Amino acid sequence: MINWSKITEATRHYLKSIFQPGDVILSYTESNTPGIMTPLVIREAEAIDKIILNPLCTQNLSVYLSEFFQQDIQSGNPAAGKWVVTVKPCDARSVIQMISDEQIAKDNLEMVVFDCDGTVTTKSLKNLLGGEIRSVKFEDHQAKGETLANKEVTADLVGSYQTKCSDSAICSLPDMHDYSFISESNRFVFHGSEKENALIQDTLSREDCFQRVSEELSKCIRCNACRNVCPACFCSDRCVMDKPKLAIPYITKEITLDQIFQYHLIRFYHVAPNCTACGECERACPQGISLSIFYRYLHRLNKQLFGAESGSSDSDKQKLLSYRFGEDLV
Amino acid sequence: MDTNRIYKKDMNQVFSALKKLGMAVIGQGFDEKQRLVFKEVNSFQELALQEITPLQPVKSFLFPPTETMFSYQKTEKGTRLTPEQEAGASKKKILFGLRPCDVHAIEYIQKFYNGNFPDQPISHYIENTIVVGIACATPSNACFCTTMGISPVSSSGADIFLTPTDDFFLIEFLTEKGKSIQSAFAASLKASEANDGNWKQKIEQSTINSLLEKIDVEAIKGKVNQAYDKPFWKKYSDVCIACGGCTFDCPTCTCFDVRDVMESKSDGYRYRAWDSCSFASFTLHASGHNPRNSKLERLRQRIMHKYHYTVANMQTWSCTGCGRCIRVCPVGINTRSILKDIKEALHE
Repeated sequence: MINWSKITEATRHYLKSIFQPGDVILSYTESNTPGIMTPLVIREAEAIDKIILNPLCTQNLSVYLSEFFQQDIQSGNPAAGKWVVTVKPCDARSVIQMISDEQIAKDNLEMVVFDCDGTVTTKSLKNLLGGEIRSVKFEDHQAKGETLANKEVTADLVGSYQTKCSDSAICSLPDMHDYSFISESNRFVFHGSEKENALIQDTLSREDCFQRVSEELSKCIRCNACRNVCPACFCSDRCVMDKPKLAIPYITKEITLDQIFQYHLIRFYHVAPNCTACGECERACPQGISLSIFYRYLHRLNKQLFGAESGSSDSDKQKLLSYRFGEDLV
Repeated sequence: MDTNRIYKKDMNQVFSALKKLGMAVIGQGFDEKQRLVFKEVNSFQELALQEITPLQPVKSFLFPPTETMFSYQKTEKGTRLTPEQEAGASKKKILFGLRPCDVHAIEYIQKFYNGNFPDQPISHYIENTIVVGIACATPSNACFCTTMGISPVSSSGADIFLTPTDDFFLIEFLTEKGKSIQSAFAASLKASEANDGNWKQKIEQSTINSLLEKIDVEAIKGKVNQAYDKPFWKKYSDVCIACGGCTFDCPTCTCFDVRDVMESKSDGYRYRAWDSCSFASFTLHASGHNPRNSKLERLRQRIMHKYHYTVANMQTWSCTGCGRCIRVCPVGINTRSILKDIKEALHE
């Protein structure tokens, strides 16, 4: 079991020891609303003490890296120091995948992975505590909180962790050769209980599957949150979805089922080779669409068809890029 | 003003009477996957009024996310235009159990779209909608209505207003529109009792006590533009991912985009769809120039619009403090802290 205040302390301590003026650190802190964490960009050593790590650190910070590196390149004015990012093991896989996709440069990056035994979304935490949160603290797989109605509640977090936390294919350390790992025991332990999360593709017929996907997607409002939180989506402002002004656009801006399908299928195929199943799309969706229908399926297909596991090593190239004709796939 | 009691056990009778009047009742309830949404309901039990407000804003029933405006067909005789917007707008609806924040949002939308060039379809939607407000007894921890000057029991803007208690509502018919459907309630109305006047105050007090904080924004009203160049914006734009979640779930965001689709050489249609100032494509010019090229400029635009431009142009905040932007933001950007930072920056 992880002691979050110790992890927070150890991370701050380590970051202080490596921080040089000019460095930029990406980490987490509490937002103004109880139960919601927010990413923190640190440019001064004093701000390191603002870092707070806990099971609500759901955001995948790797998504900011490609943007920062792009800005560096575009402005012709590279950062004076290095980029430091603190990530959970699952998110470390996204960083590794971005390095392998040459979206970010490894030599200017320091990745600090902190130990984690599960993350919980704000929504499940509210359900767990049975109401709106006034304050919350975490200890030993438990959340101790107070609701808006001033009721004190203690709830067990196990069982409410995100789906990815019970999948050892996603919750595992990538090749950590060049990176630091912060934990109490100095070794990574898979804390989740391996749950069999059957996908609808296994249990439903083709027609029923299509029906289910249509039902889910009919709720989409095309806000682009799933695309913008996705570390595998790095086209930034040059995305094909943002080009409805073409004479014959690939996709219109209409929020109708056929255009919604078009949107999600384009995304599905675009991120197919580099999606690490971090689950950010599902968490960010304001409409609560189970996007896991797509990404968990992708993760499995990649493994079954190509023997590929995105984000396991920064020297692996995407199978779609490195495949040679005649090569055995699995 | 007459206040009556209406017992919860009698509400289904009211609902079937409303059905007979040809009205669709829309209120907050759970969908088949237990997600809290605004949806059409058939019985009182389908409503979940004791929950916080759904994330999805009620504006989608007045201002559809996508709407075909007209279609055209070119024939040998000329071009024929077919208007297509009226069908949805002419359907009579009741928005049942909206919190004061959402009622104010509808008032704002109505005001916004009835400026110099009234938007007819949206006016029709609103004309054909009766708003039944309800005093808010269950705020979320993101709510800040009192900051924006709205009381959690304000009935302003509602046609009918309910004050909930354990087993009955206190009901007030406030406008002509509201009174036009009074017949559906008539059979179930009971006289109110002497102490009933206290319920509203009680709810107001307990809700205000639950709200996390109130920021005094009167001090910055009309002066937010002075914070335009302050450094604090970067703190938020650094972490903003420029998705449109906050704008699409905002009950007062009114932006849309209009586009044409050519289906064949002779057929096509024009549609409008929600758009968001968070998107880079929102202000992109045909030349390739983008006047709001950075996330910082786009995030600031959204805040300036809500807290300055509409104050300058329409003498009203275009924010009702419903807290949806805070609840939806995948990266935890908090509108309340932005307001506090603006205030602080102005004091420097």
